[in-house]
Amino acid sequence: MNSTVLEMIIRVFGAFLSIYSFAVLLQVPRRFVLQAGIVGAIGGFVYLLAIHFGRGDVMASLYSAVAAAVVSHIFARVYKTPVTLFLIAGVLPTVPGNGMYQTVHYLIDGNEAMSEFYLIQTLEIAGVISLAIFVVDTFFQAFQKSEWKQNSMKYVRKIVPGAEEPQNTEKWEK
Amino acid sequence: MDTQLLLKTAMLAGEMMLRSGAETYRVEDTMHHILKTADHIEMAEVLVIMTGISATIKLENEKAVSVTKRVEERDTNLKLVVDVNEISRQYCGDDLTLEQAYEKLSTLKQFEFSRKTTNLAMMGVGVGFTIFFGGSIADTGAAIVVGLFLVAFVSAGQDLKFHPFIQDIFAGFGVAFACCLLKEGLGDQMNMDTVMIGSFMPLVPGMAITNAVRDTLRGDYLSGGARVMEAFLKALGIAIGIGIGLALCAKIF
Repeated sequence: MNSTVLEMIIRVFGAFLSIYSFAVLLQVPRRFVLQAGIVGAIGGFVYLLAIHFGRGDVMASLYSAVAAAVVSHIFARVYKTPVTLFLIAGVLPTVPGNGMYQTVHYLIDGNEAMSEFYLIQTLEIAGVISLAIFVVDTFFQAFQKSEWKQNSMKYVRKIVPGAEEPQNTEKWEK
Repeated sequence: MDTQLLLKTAMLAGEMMLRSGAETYRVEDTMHHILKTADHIEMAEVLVIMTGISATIKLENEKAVSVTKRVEERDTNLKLVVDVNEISRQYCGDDLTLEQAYEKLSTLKQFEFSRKTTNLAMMGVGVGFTIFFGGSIADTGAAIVVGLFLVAFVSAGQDLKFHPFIQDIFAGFGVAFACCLLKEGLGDQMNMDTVMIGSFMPLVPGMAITNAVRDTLRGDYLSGGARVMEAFLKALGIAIGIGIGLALCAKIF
């Protein structure tokens, strides 16, 4: 096994450990903590892979966030739980911690050009994370039956005396 | 059916979810489903924004009843989101009576993990991210020590009941200062940037970022915007804290 692969495995394990721990920090129910860790590991793996193949930080973040969001949505459907459970922890490896830090670091150093560069990169990465969550959410919504919308007049349940008890016919949203 | 108890149950469920970091539409959805189970209902309307809830219900031949609730504190506690979601589904699926549902909601266990475990997890996040960002063995060791500092500073900030913004500054300062101290001790063996970035990751507002996007997507612009604001303020607080820590170190060493 060559050293690049070994390093990759160690770093992916790091992503797993951190997201597993973050899920505990967010009080994710015990039975889903492992799955949240797996989402994080996949996100981290895609990020490292993209960097390895020469993509920039921003594009790598986009791929990683899309991968994490897709896996989160699949898990949410498999385990029938709210998708936030996996998504909040899952996109974390992508969050621009480096950009935030370097912005402040160079600001303190008095290097405004570098500080601005990292500030813009941070905002770009935040933007692509939003984009990824947006797109994947919309994609999965397209396969959902009867989107629920709050509209009091439309969904009123009227009981006519003598008629049998009406059932809730609307589907619950996952 | 007792309308007051129904409203109370819906409000309790909504408040618990909103406080624990559920998306706005999920809170509205859950509350509306609970309210709709009333007999002879003419109208049920729920309005949730990030900082409060308002619900109105009107039964046939009765006056409308309206309740408003201000939600001040927000935390991330996904266990409660899942549990409340489950109870409301059971209630709406007629597996629970209203009284049982209210009883279950108000006696729900608040936390999945104890504070000791979450403190340990906070260190785990820092160590994991240090490895993920390509830290060496020395960096990983340093991250464990910095993690201890972070836990101490965060706990102190919570116990002293600082304003959340000041808490972030305080915690960011703790991380930066601990990193500088270790850097002085370990010298070139340690990559300070990697350790520091890894160590402040537990403070990053992951819930605010994710929910900001999802709320905006659903058209809850008010809540979405508020959450963007929350995420930005949190990030700013951490950045200020780190800035103070770095500047102080530059002065001392």
